[in-house]
Amino acid sequence: MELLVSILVLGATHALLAAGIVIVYKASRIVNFAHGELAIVGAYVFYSAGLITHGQSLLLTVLATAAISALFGVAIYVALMRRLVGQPTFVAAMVTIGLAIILKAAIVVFWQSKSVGINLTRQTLYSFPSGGRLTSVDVITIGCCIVFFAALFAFFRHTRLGRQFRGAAENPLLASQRQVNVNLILALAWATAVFSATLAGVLFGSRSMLSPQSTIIGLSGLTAALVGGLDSLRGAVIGGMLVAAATYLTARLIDPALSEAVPFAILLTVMIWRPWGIYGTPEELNRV
Amino acid sequence: MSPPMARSSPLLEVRQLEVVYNHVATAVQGVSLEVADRQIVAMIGTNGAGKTTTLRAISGFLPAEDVAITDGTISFDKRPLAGRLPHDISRRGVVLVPERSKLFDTLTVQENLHFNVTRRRREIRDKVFDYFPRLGERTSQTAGLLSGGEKQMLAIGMSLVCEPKLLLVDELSLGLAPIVTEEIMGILQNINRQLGLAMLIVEQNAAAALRVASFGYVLEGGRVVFKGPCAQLMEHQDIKEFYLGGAEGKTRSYRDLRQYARKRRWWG
Ligand SMILES: Nc1ncnc2c1ncn2[C@@H]1O[C@H](COP(=O)(O)OP(=O)(O)OP(=O)(O)O)[C@@H](O)[C@H]1O
Ligand SMILES: [Mg+2]
Repeated sequence: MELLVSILVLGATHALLAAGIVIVYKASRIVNFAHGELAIVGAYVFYSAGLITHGQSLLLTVLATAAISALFGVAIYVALMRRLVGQPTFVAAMVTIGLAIILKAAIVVFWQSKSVGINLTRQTLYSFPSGGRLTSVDVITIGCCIVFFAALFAFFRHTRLGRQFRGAAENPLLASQRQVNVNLILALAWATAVFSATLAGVLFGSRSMLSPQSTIIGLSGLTAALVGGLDSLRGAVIGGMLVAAATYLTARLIDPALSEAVPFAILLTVMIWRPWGIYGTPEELNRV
Repeated sequence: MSPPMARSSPLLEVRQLEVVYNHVATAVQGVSLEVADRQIVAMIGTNGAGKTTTLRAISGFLPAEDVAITDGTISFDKRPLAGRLPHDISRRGVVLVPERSKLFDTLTVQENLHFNVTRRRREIRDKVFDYFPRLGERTSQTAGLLSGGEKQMLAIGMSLVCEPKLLLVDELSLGLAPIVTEEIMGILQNINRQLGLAMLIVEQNAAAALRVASFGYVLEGGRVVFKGPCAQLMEHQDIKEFYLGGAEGKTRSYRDLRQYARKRRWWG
Protein backbone atom coordinates (compact mmCIF):
# COMPACT_ATOMS: atom_id res chain seq x y z
CA MET A 1 0.00 0.00 0.00
CA GLU A 2 2.72 2.36 1.02
CA LEU A 3 4.69 1.26 -2.02
CA LEU A 4 1.70 1.89 -4.24
CA VAL A 5 1.28 5.42 -2.90
CA SER A 6 4.94 6.19 -3.47
CA ILE A 7 4.80 4.92 -7.02
CA LEU A 8 1.58 6.81 -7.74
CA VAL A 9 3.05 10.05 -6.44
CA LEU A 10 6.26 9.72 -8.42
CA GLY A 11 4.31 8.46 -11.43
CA ALA A 12 1.96 11.43 -11.31
CA THR A 13 4.89 13.83 -11.61
CA HIS A 14 6.39 11.83 -14.48
CA ALA A 15 3.02 11.65 -16.21
CA LEU A 16 2.57 15.41 -15.98
CA LEU A 17 6.01 15.94 -17.45
CA ALA A 18 5.36 13.41 -20.19
CA ALA A 19 2.01 15.07 -21.02
CA GLY A 20 3.73 18.36 -21.81
CA ILE A 21 6.22 16.63 -24.09
CA VAL A 22 3.43 14.69 -25.81
CA ILE A 23 1.28 17.78 -26.41
CA VAL A 24 4.09 19.65 -28.13
CA TYR A 25 5.07 16.57 -30.08
CA LYS A 26 1.52 15.92 -31.23
CA ALA A 27 1.03 19.48 -32.38
CA SER A 28 4.36 20.04 -34.08
CA ARG A 29 6.42 16.79 -34.19
CA ILE A 30 9.04 18.55 -32.11
CA VAL A 31 10.67 16.67 -29.25
CA ASN A 32 11.18 19.21 -26.51
CA PHE A 33 14.47 18.57 -24.73
CA ALA A 34 14.01 21.61 -22.49
CA HIS A 35 11.05 20.22 -20.62
CA GLY A 36 12.88 19.43 -17.37
CA GLU A 37 14.44 22.90 -17.39
CA LEU A 38 11.03 24.47 -17.96
CA ALA A 39 9.67 22.48 -15.02
CA ILE A 40 12.40 23.57 -12.63
CA VAL A 41 12.39 27.20 -13.76
CA GLY A 42 8.63 27.11 -13.23
CA ALA A 43 9.14 25.79 -9.74
CA TYR A 44 11.65 28.56 -8.99
CA VAL A 45 9.17 31.11 -10.30
CA PHE A 46 6.55 29.67 -7.98
CA TYR A 47 9.02 29.89 -5.11
CA SER A 48 9.78 33.55 -5.88
CA ALA A 49 6.10 34.38 -6.35
CA GLY A 50 5.55 32.85 -2.91
CA LEU A 51 8.25 35.11 -1.44
CA ILE A 52 6.71 38.18 -3.03
CA THR A 53 3.29 37.39 -1.60
CA HIS A 54 5.02 36.49 1.70
CA GLY A 55 3.30 33.15 1.62
CA GLN A 56 0.11 35.00 2.47
CA SER A 57 -1.96 34.06 -0.50
CA LEU A 58 -1.40 30.63 -1.96
CA LEU A 59 -4.16 31.23 -4.50
CA LEU A 60 -2.48 34.38 -5.80
CA THR A 61 0.84 32.57 -6.06
CA VAL A 62 -0.73 29.70 -7.95
CA LEU A 63 -2.61 31.98 -10.36
CA ALA A 64 0.41 34.19 -10.98
CA THR A 65 2.64 31.20 -11.68
CA ALA A 66 0.05 29.62 -13.96
CA ALA A 67 -0.31 32.83 -15.95
CA ILE A 68 3.44 33.40 -16.18
CA SER A 69 4.10 29.83 -17.31
CA ALA A 70 1.37 29.87 -19.96
CA LEU A 71 2.59 33.22 -21.29
CA PHE A 72 6.15 31.94 -21.28
CA GLY A 73 4.98 29.01 -23.39
CA VAL A 74 3.40 31.37 -25.91
CA ALA A 75 6.59 33.45 -25.90
CA ILE A 76 8.73 30.40 -26.65
CA TYR A 77 6.51 29.57 -29.59
CA VAL A 78 6.39 33.09 -30.97
CA ALA A 79 10.05 33.92 -30.44
CA LEU A 80 11.66 30.60 -31.33
CA MET A 81 9.50 27.85 -32.72
CA ARG A 82 7.35 29.80 -35.17
CA ARG A 83 10.47 30.85 -37.04
CA LEU A 84 11.41 27.22 -37.61
CA VAL A 85 8.42 26.50 -39.79
CA GLY A 86 9.49 24.48 -42.78
CA GLN A 87 12.76 23.39 -41.17
CA PRO A 88 13.39 19.73 -40.43
CA THR A 89 12.16 18.82 -36.96
CA PHE A 90 15.65 17.96 -35.75
CA VAL A 91 16.56 21.63 -36.16
CA ALA A 92 13.74 22.49 -33.78
CA ALA A 93 14.92 19.77 -31.39
CA MET A 94 18.39 21.36 -31.42
CA VAL A 95 16.81 24.70 -30.62
CA THR A 96 15.08 23.17 -27.59
CA ILE A 97 18.46 21.88 -26.42
CA GLY A 98 19.77 25.42 -26.71
CA LEU A 99 16.76 26.64 -24.78
CA ALA A 100 17.51 24.09 -22.06
CA ILE A 101 21.02 25.45 -21.64
CA ILE A 102 19.78 29.03 -21.49
CA LEU A 103 17.15 28.14 -18.89
CA LYS A 104 19.72 26.38 -16.77
CA ALA A 105 21.90 29.46 -16.96
CA ALA A 106 18.90 31.53 -15.93
CA ILE A 107 18.56 29.50 -12.76
CA VAL A 108 22.17 30.33 -11.95
CA VAL A 109 21.74 34.02 -12.75
CA PHE A 110 18.37 34.73 -11.17
CA TRP A 111 18.38 32.30 -8.28
CA GLN A 112 22.15 31.92 -7.76
CA SER A 113 21.72 28.14 -8.01
CA LYS A 114 20.19 28.33 -4.56
CA SER A 115 18.89 25.08 -3.24
CA VAL A 116 15.35 25.84 -2.22
CA GLY A 117 12.30 23.89 -1.20
CA ILE A 118 8.67 24.71 -1.72
CA ASN A 119 6.57 24.56 1.41
CA LEU A 120 3.09 23.48 0.63
CA THR A 121 1.30 22.60 3.86
CA ARG A 122 2.74 19.23 4.64
CA GLN A 123 0.61 17.33 7.05
CA THR A 124 0.62 13.66 7.77
CA LEU A 125 -2.79 12.36 6.88
CA TYR A 126 -2.14 8.72 7.57
CA SER A 127 0.69 6.65 8.97
CA PHE A 128 1.21 3.25 7.50
CA PRO A 129 1.90 0.43 9.95
CA SER A 130 5.22 -0.13 8.21
CA GLY A 131 6.33 3.40 9.08
CA GLY A 132 5.61 5.31 5.88
CA ARG A 133 3.30 8.29 5.80
CA LEU A 134 0.66 9.63 3.49
CA THR A 135 1.04 13.40 3.45
CA SER A 136 -1.13 16.18 2.13
CA VAL A 137 1.49 16.82 -0.54
CA ASP A 138 1.00 13.26 -1.79
CA VAL A 139 -2.71 13.81 -2.06
CA ILE A 140 -2.24 17.17 -3.78
CA THR A 141 0.18 15.64 -6.28
CA ILE A 142 -2.10 12.78 -7.23
CA GLY A 143 -5.12 15.09 -7.23
CA CYS A 144 -3.47 17.64 -9.52
CA CYS A 145 -2.50 14.88 -11.90
CA ILE A 146 -6.02 13.47 -12.03
CA VAL A 147 -7.64 16.88 -12.51
CA PHE A 148 -5.13 17.88 -15.17
CA PHE A 149 -5.57 14.73 -17.22
CA ALA A 150 -9.34 14.70 -16.83
CA ALA A 151 -9.50 18.30 -18.02
CA LEU A 152 -7.19 17.55 -20.90
CA PHE A 153 -9.14 14.50 -22.07
CA ALA A 154 -12.43 16.40 -21.79
CA PHE A 155 -10.94 19.28 -23.75
CA PHE A 156 -9.77 17.07 -26.59
CA ARG A 157 -12.96 15.00 -26.72
CA HIS A 158 -15.70 17.48 -26.16
CA THR A 159 -14.72 20.98 -27.23
CA ARG A 160 -14.49 22.50 -30.66
CA LEU A 161 -11.02 23.86 -29.95
CA GLY A 162 -10.00 20.37 -28.81
CA ARG A 163 -11.21 18.87 -32.09
CA GLN A 164 -9.38 21.57 -34.00
CA PHE A 165 -6.25 20.82 -32.00
CA ARG A 166 -6.42 17.13 -32.90
CA GLY A 167 -7.19 17.96 -36.51
CA ALA A 168 -4.33 20.42 -36.79
CA ALA A 169 -2.01 17.85 -35.20
CA GLU A 170 -2.95 15.32 -37.85
CA ASN A 171 -3.06 17.59 -40.88
CA PRO A 172 -2.12 21.26 -40.38
CA LEU A 173 -2.76 22.19 -44.01
CA LEU A 174 -6.30 20.83 -43.99
CA ALA A 175 -6.99 22.48 -40.64
CA SER A 176 -5.85 25.75 -42.13
CA GLN A 177 -8.05 25.20 -45.18
CA ARG A 178 -10.91 24.67 -42.73
CA GLN A 179 -10.52 28.15 -41.23
CA VAL A 180 -8.33 27.22 -38.26
CA ASN A 181 -5.34 29.43 -37.49
CA VAL A 182 -2.68 26.80 -36.90
CA ASN A 183 -0.39 29.36 -35.25
CA LEU A 184 -2.89 29.80 -32.45
CA ILE A 185 -3.15 26.05 -31.96
CA LEU A 186 0.62 25.73 -31.69
CA ALA A 187 0.84 28.64 -29.27
CA LEU A 188 -1.83 26.96 -27.19
CA ALA A 189 0.13 23.70 -27.24
CA TRP A 190 3.24 25.44 -25.91
CA ALA A 191 1.26 27.32 -23.29
CA THR A 192 -0.27 24.07 -22.03
CA ALA A 193 3.07 22.30 -22.13
CA VAL A 194 4.92 24.93 -20.10
CA PHE A 195 2.01 25.17 -17.69
CA SER A 196 2.02 21.41 -17.08
CA ALA A 197 5.81 21.41 -16.78
CA THR A 198 5.58 24.11 -14.13
CA LEU A 199 2.92 22.17 -12.28
CA ALA A 200 5.14 19.10 -12.30
CA GLY A 201 8.11 21.19 -11.18
CA VAL A 202 6.23 22.71 -8.28
CA LEU A 203 4.99 19.31 -7.13
CA PHE A 204 8.51 17.96 -7.43
CA GLY A 205 9.89 20.93 -5.49
CA SER A 206 7.43 20.41 -2.69
CA ARG A 207 8.95 17.03 -1.87
CA SER A 208 12.60 17.48 -2.81
CA MET A 209 14.97 20.42 -2.85
CA LEU A 210 15.25 22.39 -6.11
CA SER A 211 18.64 23.00 -7.68
CA PRO A 212 19.97 23.32 -11.23
CA GLN A 213 20.60 19.56 -11.09
CA SER A 214 16.90 18.91 -10.62
CA THR A 215 16.39 19.58 -14.31
CA ILE A 216 17.33 15.94 -14.81
CA ILE A 217 13.66 15.10 -14.16
CA GLY A 218 13.11 16.12 -17.78
CA LEU A 219 14.72 12.84 -18.77
CA SER A 220 12.30 10.86 -16.65
CA GLY A 221 9.49 12.73 -18.34
CA LEU A 222 10.93 12.12 -21.79
CA THR A 223 11.38 8.45 -20.99
CA ALA A 224 7.81 8.21 -19.75
CA ALA A 225 6.60 9.88 -22.94
CA LEU A 226 8.64 7.54 -25.12
CA VAL A 227 7.56 4.45 -23.21
CA GLY A 228 3.92 5.37 -23.62
CA GLY A 229 4.27 6.64 -27.17
CA LEU A 230 5.27 10.19 -28.05
CA ASP A 231 1.92 11.00 -29.58
CA SER A 232 -0.33 9.45 -26.96
CA LEU A 233 -1.63 11.16 -23.84
CA ARG A 234 -2.89 7.88 -22.49
CA GLY A 235 0.62 6.59 -23.01
CA ALA A 236 1.97 9.49 -20.95
CA VAL A 237 0.03 8.30 -17.90
CA ILE A 238 0.96 4.65 -18.32
CA GLY A 239 4.56 5.51 -19.19
CA GLY A 240 4.86 7.80 -16.17
CA MET A 241 3.63 5.08 -13.85
CA LEU A 242 5.87 2.41 -15.38
CA VAL A 243 8.99 4.53 -15.14
CA ALA A 244 8.10 5.49 -11.57
CA ALA A 245 7.51 1.87 -10.61
CA ALA A 246 10.80 0.74 -12.15
CA THR A 247 12.75 3.57 -10.53
CA TYR A 248 11.18 3.07 -7.15
CA LEU A 249 11.46 -0.71 -7.07
CA THR A 250 15.11 -0.55 -8.07
CA ALA A 251 15.80 1.88 -5.25
CA ARG A 252 13.93 -0.27 -2.76
CA LEU A 253 15.00 -3.73 -3.77
CA ILE A 254 18.42 -3.32 -5.33
CA ASP A 255 20.31 -0.14 -4.67
CA PRO A 256 19.18 3.50 -4.34
CA ALA A 257 22.28 4.62 -6.22
CA LEU A 258 21.20 2.59 -9.20
CA SER A 259 17.74 4.13 -9.43
CA GLU A 260 19.12 7.27 -11.06
CA ALA A 261 20.17 5.22 -14.04
CA VAL A 262 16.88 3.39 -14.42
CA PRO A 263 15.14 5.95 -16.68
CA PHE A 264 18.11 5.84 -19.04
CA ALA A 265 18.10 2.06 -19.09
CA ILE A 266 14.39 2.03 -19.88
CA LEU A 267 14.89 4.71 -22.50
CA LEU A 268 17.48 2.60 -24.31
CA THR A 269 15.43 -0.56 -24.02
CA VAL A 270 12.32 1.08 -25.43
CA MET A 271 14.20 2.72 -28.29
CA ILE A 272 15.49 -0.67 -29.35
CA TRP A 273 12.47 -2.82 -28.67
CA ARG A 274 9.51 -0.64 -29.56
CA PRO A 275 10.58 2.88 -30.59
CA TRP A 276 7.02 4.11 -31.04
CA GLY A 277 6.05 3.23 -27.47
CA ILE A 278 3.09 1.36 -26.07
CA TYR A 279 0.26 3.48 -27.44
CA GLY A 280 2.11 5.38 -30.14
CA THR A 281 1.59 4.90 -33.84
CA PRO A 282 4.54 3.36 -35.70
CA GLU A 283 4.12 5.59 -38.78
CA GLU A 284 4.68 8.63 -36.62
CA LEU A 285 8.32 7.76 -36.34
CA ASN A 286 8.99 8.37 -40.00
CA ARG A 287 8.48 12.01 -39.32
CA VAL A 288 11.00 12.21 -36.51
CA MET B 1 -14.27 34.85 -75.47
CA SER B 2 -15.54 35.83 -72.07
CA PRO B 3 -17.73 34.07 -69.51
CA PRO B 4 -21.44 34.55 -70.05
CA MET B 5 -21.95 36.59 -66.90
CA ALA B 6 -19.12 38.99 -67.39
CA ARG B 7 -21.24 42.11 -67.23
CA SER B 8 -20.65 42.58 -63.49
CA SER B 9 -17.10 41.97 -62.26
CA PRO B 10 -16.51 38.26 -61.54
CA LEU B 11 -16.46 36.72 -58.07
CA LEU B 12 -13.04 35.17 -58.64
CA GLU B 13 -10.56 36.63 -61.05
CA VAL B 14 -7.16 35.04 -61.68
CA ARG B 15 -4.78 36.97 -63.92
CA GLN B 16 -1.56 35.62 -65.41
CA LEU B 17 -0.91 33.32 -62.46
CA GLU B 18 2.53 31.78 -62.24
CA VAL B 19 3.43 29.22 -59.58
CA VAL B 20 6.89 27.79 -58.95
CA TYR B 21 7.78 24.76 -56.79
CA ASN B 22 11.13 24.55 -54.99
CA HIS B 23 12.31 27.77 -56.70
CA VAL B 24 12.80 25.91 -59.98
CA ALA B 25 9.78 23.93 -61.20
CA THR B 26 7.22 26.16 -62.86
CA ALA B 27 3.93 24.28 -62.64
CA VAL B 28 1.57 27.05 -63.74
CA GLN B 29 2.62 29.72 -66.22
CA GLY B 30 0.28 32.56 -66.96
CA VAL B 31 -3.12 31.07 -66.18
CA SER B 32 -6.06 33.48 -66.26
CA LEU B 33 -9.58 32.48 -65.35
CA GLU B 34 -12.82 33.84 -63.99
CA VAL B 35 -15.73 32.52 -61.99
CA ALA B 36 -18.90 34.57 -61.79
CA ASP B 37 -21.30 34.54 -58.88
CA ARG B 38 -23.62 31.49 -58.84
CA GLN B 39 -21.69 29.93 -61.73
CA ILE B 40 -20.13 26.46 -62.06
CA VAL B 41 -16.87 26.56 -63.97
CA ALA B 42 -14.95 23.44 -65.01
CA MET B 43 -11.21 23.14 -65.41
CA ILE B 44 -10.01 20.03 -67.22
CA GLY B 45 -6.61 18.75 -68.26
CA THR B 46 -4.36 15.71 -68.20
CA ASN B 47 -2.01 14.59 -65.42
CA GLY B 48 0.44 17.26 -64.38
CA ALA B 49 -1.33 20.03 -66.29
CA GLY B 50 -1.25 22.27 -63.21
CA LYS B 51 -4.90 22.02 -62.14
CA THR B 52 -4.21 21.14 -58.52
CA THR B 53 -1.47 23.75 -58.35
CA THR B 54 -3.88 26.42 -59.60
CA LEU B 55 -6.50 25.53 -56.99
CA ARG B 56 -3.90 25.33 -54.26
CA ALA B 57 -2.58 28.76 -55.21
CA ILE B 58 -6.08 30.23 -55.00
CA SER B 59 -6.75 28.58 -51.62
CA GLY B 60 -3.37 29.54 -50.16
CA PHE B 61 -0.07 27.90 -49.24
CA LEU B 62 1.35 27.35 -45.75
CA PRO B 63 4.68 29.07 -45.03
CA ALA B 64 6.22 25.62 -44.60
CA GLU B 65 5.50 24.68 -48.21
CA ASP B 66 8.28 25.26 -50.71
CA VAL B 67 6.13 26.83 -53.38
CA ALA B 68 5.41 30.39 -54.35
CA ILE B 69 3.20 32.53 -56.54
CA THR B 70 5.84 34.32 -58.60
CA ASP B 71 3.57 36.36 -60.82
CA GLY B 72 0.00 37.37 -61.47
CA THR B 73 -2.94 38.32 -59.31
CA ILE B 74 -5.83 36.54 -57.66
CA SER B 75 -8.80 38.56 -56.54
CA PHE B 76 -11.97 37.46 -54.83
CA ASP B 77 -14.86 39.83 -54.29
CA LYS B 78 -12.51 42.52 -55.69
CA ARG B 79 -9.97 41.91 -52.90
CA PRO B 80 -6.51 40.43 -53.50
CA LEU B 81 -6.00 36.89 -52.18
CA ALA B 82 -2.45 36.04 -53.23
CA GLY B 83 -0.03 35.76 -50.32
CA ARG B 84 -2.70 35.24 -47.68
CA LEU B 85 -2.72 32.18 -45.44
CA PRO B 86 -5.18 29.34 -46.08
CA HIS B 87 -7.22 29.97 -42.93
CA ASP B 88 -7.63 33.60 -43.90
CA ILE B 89 -8.68 32.74 -47.44
CA SER B 90 -11.17 30.11 -46.29
CA ARG B 91 -12.63 32.56 -43.78
CA ARG B 92 -13.19 34.94 -46.68
CA GLY B 93 -15.33 32.28 -48.33
CA VAL B 94 -13.02 30.49 -50.76
CA VAL B 95 -13.07 26.87 -49.59
CA LEU B 96 -11.16 24.00 -51.17
CA VAL B 97 -12.10 20.32 -51.27
CA PRO B 98 -8.55 19.00 -51.80
CA GLU B 99 -7.53 16.21 -54.13
CA ARG B 100 -5.79 14.19 -51.42
CA SER B 101 -5.94 14.17 -47.61
CA LYS B 102 -9.28 15.91 -47.55
CA LEU B 103 -10.36 14.53 -44.16
CA PHE B 104 -8.97 14.19 -40.66
CA ASP B 105 -8.63 10.42 -40.88
CA THR B 106 -8.28 9.80 -37.15
CA LEU B 107 -11.38 11.81 -36.27
CA THR B 108 -14.89 10.43 -36.57
CA VAL B 109 -17.38 11.52 -39.21
CA GLN B 110 -19.16 13.59 -36.59
CA GLU B 111 -15.94 15.24 -35.41
CA ASN B 112 -14.91 16.05 -38.96
CA LEU B 113 -18.24 17.62 -39.70
CA HIS B 114 -18.23 19.47 -36.40
CA PHE B 115 -14.66 20.62 -36.90
CA ASN B 116 -15.76 24.22 -36.90
CA VAL B 117 -19.47 24.07 -36.30
CA THR B 118 -20.62 26.97 -34.20
CA ARG B 119 -24.15 27.26 -32.88
CA ARG B 120 -25.02 29.39 -35.88
CA ARG B 121 -23.74 26.76 -38.29
CA ARG B 122 -25.81 23.85 -36.96
CA GLU B 123 -28.43 24.48 -39.62
CA ILE B 124 -25.84 24.02 -42.34
CA ARG B 125 -24.73 20.78 -40.76
CA ASP B 126 -28.31 19.54 -40.84
CA LYS B 127 -28.47 20.49 -44.50
CA VAL B 128 -25.32 18.45 -45.15
CA PHE B 129 -27.09 15.40 -43.77
CA ASP B 130 -30.01 16.17 -46.11
CA TYR B 131 -27.73 16.30 -49.12
CA PHE B 132 -25.73 13.24 -48.04
CA PRO B 133 -28.03 10.99 -45.99
CA ARG B 134 -25.41 8.25 -46.02
CA LEU B 135 -23.20 10.32 -43.71
CA GLY B 136 -25.96 10.39 -41.14
CA GLU B 137 -25.77 6.62 -40.79
CA ARG B 138 -22.05 6.69 -40.04
CA THR B 139 -21.56 9.55 -37.64
CA SER B 140 -19.42 7.66 -35.13
CA GLN B 141 -17.21 5.91 -37.69
CA THR B 142 -13.56 6.89 -38.06
CA ALA B 143 -13.28 8.97 -41.23
CA GLY B 144 -10.23 7.07 -42.47
CA LEU B 145 -12.34 3.92 -42.75
CA LEU B 146 -15.06 5.38 -44.98
CA SER B 147 -15.45 4.28 -48.58
CA GLY B 148 -14.08 6.56 -51.29
CA GLY B 149 -17.51 7.98 -52.11
CA GLU B 150 -18.38 8.60 -48.50
CA LYS B 151 -15.04 10.31 -47.94
CA GLN B 152 -15.76 12.65 -50.82
CA MET B 153 -19.24 13.38 -49.46
CA LEU B 154 -17.86 14.11 -46.01
CA ALA B 155 -15.17 16.35 -47.49
CA ILE B 156 -17.77 18.35 -49.38
CA GLY B 157 -19.95 18.47 -46.27
CA MET B 158 -17.05 19.78 -44.17
CA SER B 159 -16.43 22.46 -46.74
CA LEU B 160 -20.06 23.53 -46.78
CA VAL B 161 -19.95 24.00 -43.01
CA CYS B 162 -17.26 26.64 -43.64
CA GLU B 163 -19.96 28.81 -45.27
CA PRO B 164 -18.23 29.11 -48.65
CA LYS B 165 -19.05 31.73 -51.25
CA LEU B 166 -16.93 29.84 -53.76
CA LEU B 167 -16.24 26.11 -53.58
CA LEU B 168 -13.09 24.76 -55.23
CA VAL B 169 -13.37 21.03 -55.91
CA ASP B 170 -10.23 19.12 -56.90
CA GLU B 171 -10.77 15.94 -58.86
CA LEU B 172 -13.75 14.59 -57.04
CA SER B 173 -13.83 11.55 -59.37
CA LEU B 174 -10.42 10.32 -58.18
CA GLY B 175 -10.75 6.65 -57.31
CA LEU B 176 -14.54 6.65 -57.53
CA ALA B 177 -16.81 4.47 -59.62
CA PRO B 178 -18.30 6.47 -62.53
CA ILE B 179 -21.79 6.10 -61.10
CA VAL B 180 -20.71 7.57 -57.75
CA THR B 181 -18.95 10.43 -59.52
CA GLU B 182 -22.17 11.06 -61.39
CA GLU B 183 -24.19 11.01 -58.17
CA ILE B 184 -21.94 13.47 -56.35
CA MET B 185 -21.70 15.78 -59.37
CA GLY B 186 -25.48 15.81 -59.43
CA ILE B 187 -25.61 16.76 -55.77
CA LEU B 188 -23.10 19.56 -56.36
CA GLN B 189 -25.30 20.84 -59.17
CA ASN B 190 -28.28 20.76 -56.81
CA ILE B 191 -26.38 22.67 -54.15
CA ASN B 192 -25.39 25.22 -56.76
CA ARG B 193 -29.00 25.71 -57.84
CA GLN B 194 -30.47 25.81 -54.34
CA LEU B 195 -27.85 27.89 -52.55
CA GLY B 196 -26.48 29.78 -55.54
CA LEU B 197 -23.01 28.66 -54.48
CA ALA B 198 -20.36 29.32 -57.14
CA MET B 199 -17.99 26.44 -57.89
CA LEU B 200 -14.72 25.82 -59.70
CA ILE B 201 -14.54 22.12 -60.48
CA VAL B 202 -11.27 20.51 -61.54
CA GLU B 203 -11.55 17.17 -63.32
CA GLN B 204 -9.73 14.62 -65.41
CA ASN B 205 -13.13 13.16 -66.11
CA ALA B 206 -13.93 15.90 -68.59
CA ALA B 207 -17.35 14.58 -69.56
CA ALA B 208 -18.61 14.60 -65.98
CA ALA B 209 -17.35 18.13 -65.31
CA LEU B 210 -18.49 19.71 -68.59
CA ARG B 211 -21.97 18.31 -68.06
CA VAL B 212 -22.61 20.24 -64.83
CA ALA B 213 -20.58 23.37 -65.59
CA SER B 214 -21.54 26.29 -67.78
CA PHE B 215 -18.06 27.45 -68.70
CA GLY B 216 -14.84 25.51 -69.06
CA TYR B 217 -11.08 25.89 -69.26
CA VAL B 218 -8.64 23.32 -70.62
CA LEU B 219 -5.20 23.32 -69.02
CA GLU B 220 -2.06 21.82 -70.45
CA GLY B 221 1.53 22.23 -69.40
CA GLY B 222 0.52 24.95 -66.96
CA ARG B 223 -1.29 27.02 -69.59
CA VAL B 224 -4.88 27.52 -70.61
CA VAL B 225 -5.12 26.03 -74.11
CA PHE B 226 -8.90 26.25 -74.64
CA LYS B 227 -11.74 28.02 -72.98
CA GLY B 228 -15.39 28.54 -73.73
CA PRO B 229 -18.97 27.72 -72.79
CA CYS B 230 -19.22 24.01 -72.01
CA ALA B 231 -21.68 23.29 -74.81
CA GLN B 232 -19.15 24.71 -77.24
CA LEU B 233 -16.21 22.85 -75.69
CA MET B 234 -18.08 19.55 -75.89
CA GLU B 235 -18.52 20.06 -79.63
CA HIS B 236 -14.91 21.05 -80.19
CA GLN B 237 -13.15 18.50 -82.38
CA ASP B 238 -9.89 18.28 -80.43
CA ILE B 239 -11.50 18.23 -77.05
CA LYS B 240 -13.88 15.54 -78.19
CA GLU B 241 -10.97 13.52 -79.38
CA PHE B 242 -8.47 13.99 -76.59
CA TYR B 243 -10.61 14.55 -73.53
CA LEU B 244 -13.97 12.98 -74.20
CA GLY B 245 -12.68 9.63 -75.38
CA GLY B 246 -12.31 10.21 -79.13
CA ALA B 247 -14.76 10.67 -81.99
CA GLU B 248 -16.31 7.42 -83.15
CA GLY B 249 -14.45 5.33 -85.68
CA LYS B 250 -11.41 7.60 -85.83
CA THR B 251 -8.10 6.52 -84.36
CA ARG B 252 -5.48 8.98 -83.24
CA SER B 253 -2.35 9.06 -85.31
CA TYR B 254 0.94 10.76 -84.75
CA ARG B 255 -0.04 13.27 -87.42
CA ASP B 256 -3.21 14.15 -85.50
CA LEU B 257 -1.22 14.67 -82.38
CA ARG B 258 1.16 17.00 -84.15
CA GLN B 259 -1.67 18.95 -85.65
CA TYR B 260 -3.24 19.13 -82.25
CA ALA B 261 -0.02 20.40 -80.73
CA ARG B 262 0.16 23.15 -83.33
CA LYS B 263 -3.40 24.31 -82.67
CA ARG B 264 -2.75 24.19 -78.99
CA ARG B 265 0.14 26.56 -79.35
CA TRP B 266 -2.04 28.93 -81.29
CA TRP B 267 -4.66 28.90 -78.57
CA GLY B 268 -2.22 29.20 -75.71
N1 LIG C 1 4.99 19.59 -54.23
C1 LIG C 1 5.50 19.66 -55.47
N2 LIG C 1 6.81 19.85 -55.63
C2 LIG C 1 7.33 19.93 -56.89
N3 LIG C 1 6.62 19.83 -58.00
C3 LIG C 1 5.31 19.63 -57.91
C4 LIG C 1 4.67 19.53 -56.62
N4 LIG C 1 3.36 19.35 -56.83
C5 LIG C 1 3.18 19.33 -58.16
N5 LIG C 1 4.35 19.49 -58.81
C6 LIG C 1 4.53 19.55 -60.27
O1 LIG C 1 3.69 20.55 -60.79
C7 LIG C 1 3.11 20.12 -62.02
C8 LIG C 1 1.61 20.29 -61.95
O2 LIG C 1 1.10 19.42 -60.97
P1 LIG C 1 -0.42 19.44 -60.53
O3 LIG C 1 -0.54 18.55 -59.36
O4 LIG C 1 -0.87 20.83 -60.38
O5 LIG C 1 -1.13 18.77 -61.79
P2 LIG C 1 -2.63 18.30 -61.96
O6 LIG C 1 -3.14 18.97 -63.16
O7 LIG C 1 -3.40 18.50 -60.72
O8 LIG C 1 -2.45 16.75 -62.24
P3 LIG C 1 -3.36 15.52 -61.81
O9 LIG C 1 -4.47 15.46 -62.80
O10 LIG C 1 -2.46 14.33 -61.93
O11 LIG C 1 -3.82 15.75 -60.41
C9 LIG C 1 3.56 18.69 -62.23
O12 LIG C 1 4.59 18.70 -63.18
C10 LIG C 1 4.07 18.25 -60.89
O13 LIG C 1 5.14 17.36 -61.05
MG1 LIG D 1 -4.38 17.28 -59.46
